[in-house]
Amino acid sequence: MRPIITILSVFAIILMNSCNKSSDHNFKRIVFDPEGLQVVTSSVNKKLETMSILYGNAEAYSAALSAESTHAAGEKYTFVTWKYDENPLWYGTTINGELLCVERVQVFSLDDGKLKIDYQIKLGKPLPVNGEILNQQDRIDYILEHKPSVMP
Amino acid sequence: MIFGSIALFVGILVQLTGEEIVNPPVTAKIEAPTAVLAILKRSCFNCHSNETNLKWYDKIVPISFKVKADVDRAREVMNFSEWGSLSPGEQKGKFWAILNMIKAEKMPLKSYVSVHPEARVLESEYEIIKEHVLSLGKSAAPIGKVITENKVSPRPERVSPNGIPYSDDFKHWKVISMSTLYDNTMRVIYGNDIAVKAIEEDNFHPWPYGAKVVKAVWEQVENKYGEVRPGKFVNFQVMVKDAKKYTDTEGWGFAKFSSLELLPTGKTASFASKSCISCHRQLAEETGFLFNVPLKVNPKK
Repeated sequence: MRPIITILSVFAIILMNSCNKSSDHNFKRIVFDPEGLQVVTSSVNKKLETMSILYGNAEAYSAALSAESTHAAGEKYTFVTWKYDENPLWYGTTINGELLCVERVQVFSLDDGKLKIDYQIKLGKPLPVNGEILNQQDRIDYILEHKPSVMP
Repeated sequence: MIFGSIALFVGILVQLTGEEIVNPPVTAKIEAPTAVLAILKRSCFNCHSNETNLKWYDKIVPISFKVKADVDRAREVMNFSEWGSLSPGEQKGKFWAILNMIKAEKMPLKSYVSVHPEARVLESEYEIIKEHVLSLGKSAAPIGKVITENKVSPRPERVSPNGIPYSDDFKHWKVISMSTLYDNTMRVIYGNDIAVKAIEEDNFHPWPYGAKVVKAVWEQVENKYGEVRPGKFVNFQVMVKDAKKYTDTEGWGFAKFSSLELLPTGKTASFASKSCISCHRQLAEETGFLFNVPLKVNPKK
């Protein structure tokens, strides 16, 4: 009886290891595709251990740069949030890991000339701000409040 | 008997071929807390300073050749006797390198510790260095003052001493990753199409010709939501893959352009072989000498 148990255990271990490996093999390095939009700015939330990038088109970039909070039709924004992990290669640094949420804001002009700001969640759930889950309008305001990073 | 005498005679003659290690003057010695200095002196100074004090057996040919080469290289990469000539930013960077090299057990060199056991850095000593390095980050930026003014003014062309020019092209590339360094800085890392493809295919042993990566670095500023936002712009760090051109830096050409003025780093074309590559080579070999290759994640999530 004992040899059979031993053989079965060995098989079980081999099977478990091969399962682990195959699931590891499914892990991939993913580069987010912003579909032609460029980086407007970035932010890090150390409490939630998340990192975000706000992407935008040229119209969005100039609106974000402007001191006034006015908007125009054609602006497109994508706000992307990742969970972050410690970078195993360099102590003291973090690096983005799993993708948590993708949100899209677009400004359209309606027939009557008024502007419509459209908000869509493309992936996941938006994270809280100051511990609070924002309603849609506040979330739009929060995203549009971002100012571009200073860059030469 | 005759052979023995000849061998001894030759052995003594060979010793005369050894080149002595000269200690140049100490020009700008490192200043740090006493406990930190004591560790550096005991574990690092023999190679990384102008106060090299070797044992008799380090001076025997042919061991002495290896020792001299190690000391020359060590002084080139980081010299505690000329520490004061580094900018505060560079000093901070070197301290992070020291911490990471000790943590990964890359320094002191294993071959050195095997014959100089007194140089080993103990766990408790690593903690002392860690505490010091983390304290260097706490010059943190003011809360709530996010700089929003982007000065776009014409500027002269900027070229690194190794010929790598600054280019705005990366602003159209994809972001490969983001990172923070403790309380110090936050970074966004861009890759060109060749680099992005290499990452997605896990093909960086070696990285393909023409891969380019640009890291944009800012100081951290906390906003009203307790989030960290990019503050003062620090620098752009560039890596370009050309294995035929950059033979002494693992095929990567390095460039750094600092401040809004984009001032290039380095005095000579070989600056990167004296600084950048040391850490990349020792600590990031598994990702083809890049630190910020995105982690593998579960795509189904």
